[in-house]
Amino acid sequence: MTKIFIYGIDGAPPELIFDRWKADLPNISALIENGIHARMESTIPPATNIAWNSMLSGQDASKIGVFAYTYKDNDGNTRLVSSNNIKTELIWDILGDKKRTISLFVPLSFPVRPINGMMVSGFLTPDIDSDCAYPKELKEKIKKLGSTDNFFDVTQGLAGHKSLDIDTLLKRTYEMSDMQTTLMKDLITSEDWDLFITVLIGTDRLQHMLWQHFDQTHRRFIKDSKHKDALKDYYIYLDKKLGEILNLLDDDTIIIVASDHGMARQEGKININNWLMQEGYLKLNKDIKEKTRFKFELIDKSSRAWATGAYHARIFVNKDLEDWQITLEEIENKLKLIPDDKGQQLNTKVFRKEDIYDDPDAEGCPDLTVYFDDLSWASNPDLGQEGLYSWETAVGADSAGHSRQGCFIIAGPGIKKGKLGVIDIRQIAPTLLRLLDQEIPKTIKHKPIEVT
Amino acid sequence: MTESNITTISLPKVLAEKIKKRIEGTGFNSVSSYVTYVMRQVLSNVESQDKPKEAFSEQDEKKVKERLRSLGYLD
Repeated sequence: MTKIFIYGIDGAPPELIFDRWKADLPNISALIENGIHARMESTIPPATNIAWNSMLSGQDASKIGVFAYTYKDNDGNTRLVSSNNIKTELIWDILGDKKRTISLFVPLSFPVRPINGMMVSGFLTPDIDSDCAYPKELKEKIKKLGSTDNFFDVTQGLAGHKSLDIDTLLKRTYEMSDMQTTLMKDLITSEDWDLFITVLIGTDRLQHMLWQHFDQTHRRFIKDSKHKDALKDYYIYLDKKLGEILNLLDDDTIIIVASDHGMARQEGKININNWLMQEGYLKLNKDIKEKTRFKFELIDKSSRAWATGAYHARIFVNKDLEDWQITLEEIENKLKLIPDDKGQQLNTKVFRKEDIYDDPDAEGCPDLTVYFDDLSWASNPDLGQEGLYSWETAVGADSAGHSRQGCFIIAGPGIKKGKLGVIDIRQIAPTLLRLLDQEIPKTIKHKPIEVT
Repeated sequence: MTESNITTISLPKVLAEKIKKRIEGTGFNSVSSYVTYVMRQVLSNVESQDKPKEAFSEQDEKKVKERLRSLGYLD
């Protein structure tokens, strides 16, 4: 019987895995050579919590019901999203009692639900005492691995990720990854399963902070940094862990290595709400002089549009406007003309909700989604910024941001060899179902990838 | 309620008879008004079950939000 093991590497960019560092990653290289690999177009937006759930459901953000890390509850409060917000069936729901799934660290799987198999939730987990493991007995195994403070993410409690110095960040990332891969190896051999899904978040955490230490084209490149090889070394470590895992898998197991999105150097940030104010679309109900996080409560009722979203921008046009459509088109056209800080034209992409989503009427769906310079520039929704450009948000600087394409590699019994053109992240769930000899629900519109 | 806002649905006769008996002496003056009342109750219960349940305690939510902010993920 076919089994599938997924080694998820959060935010691993095809440029690093398929090209730049391929020769340093022997296990990943062997899978590339012996199987199929492709660049994979992520969700709109290419955000971790949406993209992994898209990969595991075959649906877009509107069907998943999640557009950001927060949502507005019925009382108008800004709340953190959780697995309870997911509206669509995920692969383990579709497989039901037919196939046994083990899911480790999938983003937005907290709180865990009973499934036919086992589940440990991902980086949005508060701590080990929460609903982070199914069955609960798994917690005992986790506690034996080391400090649980560091098990779900590199920062816990109120300590900020960007406030960590790089040495501490690296130390904690390795500690976390050691514990997580040890649990994987334990469950691979001690449990029965048909589908084993894992997501390692360490790459994302390091990439955001370390890009300018190795990328010479970065405008804030740090020459001869002592951390210039730190990211590459972490990839080498992940490749070694993958090798250890491959040794434990049966011959009838198909291996997938995948990332939910890519990563690219970040040039800077565009102060999107400043721009909306400057153009007369947004008015605040009080004078903001200091850097302040954007809040819906600060929007004056007469405002025509406002924006949220770090990295990409999400624009909402006031639904009460009589000239809603005209305003939307006007903003859409003007956004494309915003230049960089040196006056150069940007390759900005603006998406309308009806063009990109299956359910544009979904709660919280933005009217426009904006990729400044196709995500080389980020959006900064903070208020009280001076001018149109900023180099850090209220929480600190970024050296890289998410890019549109992640990686997909598949190898194992019956899998063809070769390189495919760009595939879509929504094709993965139906591909998994077909490989496991299960019916693909009609609600999944995307076709499986031809891998056999 | 105006005529145009009302639609007709079918009920098994036996059920309609049971309802007729049930509403005798109550404030409901027709089977239709009773069924409307009951269905609203049912749907409201179902909808409130559909709403996201509280996943985080107040303290946990603060903790995770702070972590996300420090990652630059929370706008």
